[in-house]
Amino acid sequence: MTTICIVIQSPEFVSSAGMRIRYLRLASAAPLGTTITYAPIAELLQTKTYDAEIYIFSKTFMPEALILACHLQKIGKIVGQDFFDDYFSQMDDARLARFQCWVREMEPFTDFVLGTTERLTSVIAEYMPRAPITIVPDPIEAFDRSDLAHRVSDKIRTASASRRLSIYWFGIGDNPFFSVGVRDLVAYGGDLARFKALGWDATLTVLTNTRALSSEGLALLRTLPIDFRIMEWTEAREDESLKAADVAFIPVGGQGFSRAKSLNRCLTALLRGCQVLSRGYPLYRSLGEFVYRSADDLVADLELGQVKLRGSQLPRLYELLDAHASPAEAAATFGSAATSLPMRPSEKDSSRRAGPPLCLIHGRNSDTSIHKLAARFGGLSVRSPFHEKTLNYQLRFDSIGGELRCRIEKSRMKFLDPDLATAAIDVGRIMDLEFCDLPLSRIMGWNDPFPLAMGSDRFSWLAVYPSVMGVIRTACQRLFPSASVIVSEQHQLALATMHGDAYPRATTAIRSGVA
Amino acid sequence: MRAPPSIVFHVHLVQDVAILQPLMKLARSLPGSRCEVLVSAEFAKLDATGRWATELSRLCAELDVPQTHYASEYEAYRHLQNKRGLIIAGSESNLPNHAVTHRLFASAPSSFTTITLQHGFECVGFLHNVAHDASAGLAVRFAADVIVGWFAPARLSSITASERAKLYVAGPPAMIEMRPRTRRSAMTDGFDPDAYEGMVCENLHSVRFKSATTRSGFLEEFTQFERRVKALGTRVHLRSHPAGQFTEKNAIALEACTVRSTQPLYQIDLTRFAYAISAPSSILFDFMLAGVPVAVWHDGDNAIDLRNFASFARVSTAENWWRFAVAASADPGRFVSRQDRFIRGLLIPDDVHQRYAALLSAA
Repeated sequence: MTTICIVIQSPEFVSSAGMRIRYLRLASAAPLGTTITYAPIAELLQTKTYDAEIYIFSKTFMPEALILACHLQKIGKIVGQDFFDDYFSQMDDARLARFQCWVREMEPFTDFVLGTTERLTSVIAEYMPRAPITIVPDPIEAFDRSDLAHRVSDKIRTASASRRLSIYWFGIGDNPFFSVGVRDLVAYGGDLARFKALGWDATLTVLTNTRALSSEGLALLRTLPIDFRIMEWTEAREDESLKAADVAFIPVGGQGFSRAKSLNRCLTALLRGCQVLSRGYPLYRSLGEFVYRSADDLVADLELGQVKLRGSQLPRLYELLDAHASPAEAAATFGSAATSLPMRPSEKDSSRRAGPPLCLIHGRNSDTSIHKLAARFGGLSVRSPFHEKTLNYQLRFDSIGGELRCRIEKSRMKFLDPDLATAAIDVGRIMDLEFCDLPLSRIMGWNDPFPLAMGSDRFSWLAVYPSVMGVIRTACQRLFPSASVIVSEQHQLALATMHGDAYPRATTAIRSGVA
Repeated sequence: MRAPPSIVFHVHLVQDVAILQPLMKLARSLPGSRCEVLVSAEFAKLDATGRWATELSRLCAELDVPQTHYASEYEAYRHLQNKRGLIIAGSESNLPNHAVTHRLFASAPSSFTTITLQHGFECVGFLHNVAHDASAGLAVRFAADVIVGWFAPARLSSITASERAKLYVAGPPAMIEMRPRTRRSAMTDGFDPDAYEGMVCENLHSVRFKSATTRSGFLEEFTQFERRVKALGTRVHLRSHPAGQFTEKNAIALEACTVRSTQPLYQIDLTRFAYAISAPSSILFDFMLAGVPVAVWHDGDNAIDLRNFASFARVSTAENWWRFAVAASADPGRFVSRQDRFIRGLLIPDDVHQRYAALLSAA
């Protein structure tokens, strides 16, 4: 019996679409011998026992997840990542640096990767070149075939008799980073005017979250060329509305985020008996036989009584569902991707090496709770000169006398290379702890010290941030070769300096400052 | 089936109540009209004394008009989404003070035509002074579909070119229902203290009084003026701008001869006053319409822009105030005839009532 635990960001995530559409469906179709459970990350950071063999992180873009993943690997667990949103292909958008840097930090602790679509997995492969990557599509929910057949024929009959169509747009209407939701609806909504022009009485219902209905959102919707009403989205209302709707309008934008999306919305509409009209990027081409690309085509088929989703075509739909969204198959792929890797022996069981398991480097903005967490897992809390909290770090990189200096708490000296330890100079107490100074140039193999003057202005630190953090990362690796190195950083601008190709890889020695 | 049209009055700033009151009365008098009031959540916060919320409730009860409060544009949208007609705001523009109404207008269902009113004699987006230009700029815009002005287009020099096509000139709402002027004749004999009762109005919160010295200047002159009023044994009424309430909020001490005026202006018979003195403010225009001699106060340094008040009597020191008050009380006619000439020059339509009635019937 193998247990797979999905690590989620918070207890609230349980009610999210990702949980509902993906993990709960996968769990209920899990292959024999595999159990899929879930746990919020805060719970896993507090527990002492880790019962599952495999842990899969889902949307946990926080430093705590890095520490947990590192720990789980060290105690012999298999660690995977599951992705269903593309925050990673937009290399020109610094707001997304935190997601991209997080994935890079997570890479050393990742044994396998899952993603919902081909496009998404190809994006992730750039970040995680070592780990095997498997596509696990969002599976459909269970449904009653005879119900669907009845619903489809009823809808076609009523619509044709009345020449009236109820069209629905449904889903999350906004996104903090991307122009999607109601913006897609409005951008591609011009086609909705065609129904009236072609002699069909069409009304639109917009079923979305209230946050999307800001003044700007409403002002955009006002420009739609069709009468519409707005309803607040709930899961139950979506189900009920789509079961009554004739047409689901699902426009898709062409940006990376939209192109990496799963088939889920289209499948949700088809399984409730809606004709699907999708404009924009052809995201649903694998279901193309059931997807209209223009209102004119839909009306022409309605006039002929030959719409794409009709009773006689349902067997073909079921074939496509089996090929692209079968719960049993998705769950089997999910299970085998996770369980096919050889179990790793716990480091305690194998050759136990001396020294801390991890070095946690605090960047500009890193919370005190992370400092405590590093200690809880036996790690070293490392100060970078950008971190302005007064904490009892065990390893410090400070800017003193115009240069970057490395100081180590005395009790940790025993883990150092003896040659280096002899070069340490006692510097006395800093906060509550006794420290020794270590020659940084010797650690790094330089002839001279690393010049560093920290200005008191608000932004000059940013200029030196990437090179200094690179030096600290390398120094930590050399001081404690068996430790994993993690950077904890929440500062948007600091992250942006490590964005894209500028990101210092853990294995790359940084040559900066004095040669 | 189409819903019957509604006339929705939108209240956000406290002064909106007084601006909308004559239109609400007119709308209710139209046969078959369906009216309602939509109130922003911020209105209660802006109305620190609660005076205007009470007045709005009284007005709604009197006119039998329902009130709905909303906290977000979507809440307002949800309330309006199956209706159609007009939404009329007392004030709206793209300036920060009007943001709530601006956002509402930008996002209201398209089944509604949105209308905003010129809400003062000088008014942002319609007719500016130097301080308006400095604080609001020269390109004030509106989300409203229709902007209603008081004067002929040529006299509304601050409407930006892109907004001109939205202008509908209907005249000042105060002229929808004009009180008859009571004729004040020149005094003959005997002293009647009531005949010397005037009103002084302050809008010291206004952008025109940006400097503290201008404020203290006005207050000093008023204090000296009060003493002379007291010595004569008559009274003066002091009225604060409803949104600013500077002298009330700052607890400025007043002589016993000074009466605070806090009622809505439309509940006061302005014709009973012998004179009115104020810094440049719309209230002077209300007094002019009522046939009361008015004087505009300016500071000695001329830091206050009087460009739109060019033909008004001017006062600065308490001595000027006093001379004007006495002259206006003794012989109002010579002030009033000059004021009436000024009003005629604004080219206000003759048929204000009909024009507003036509606008409201467009629902």
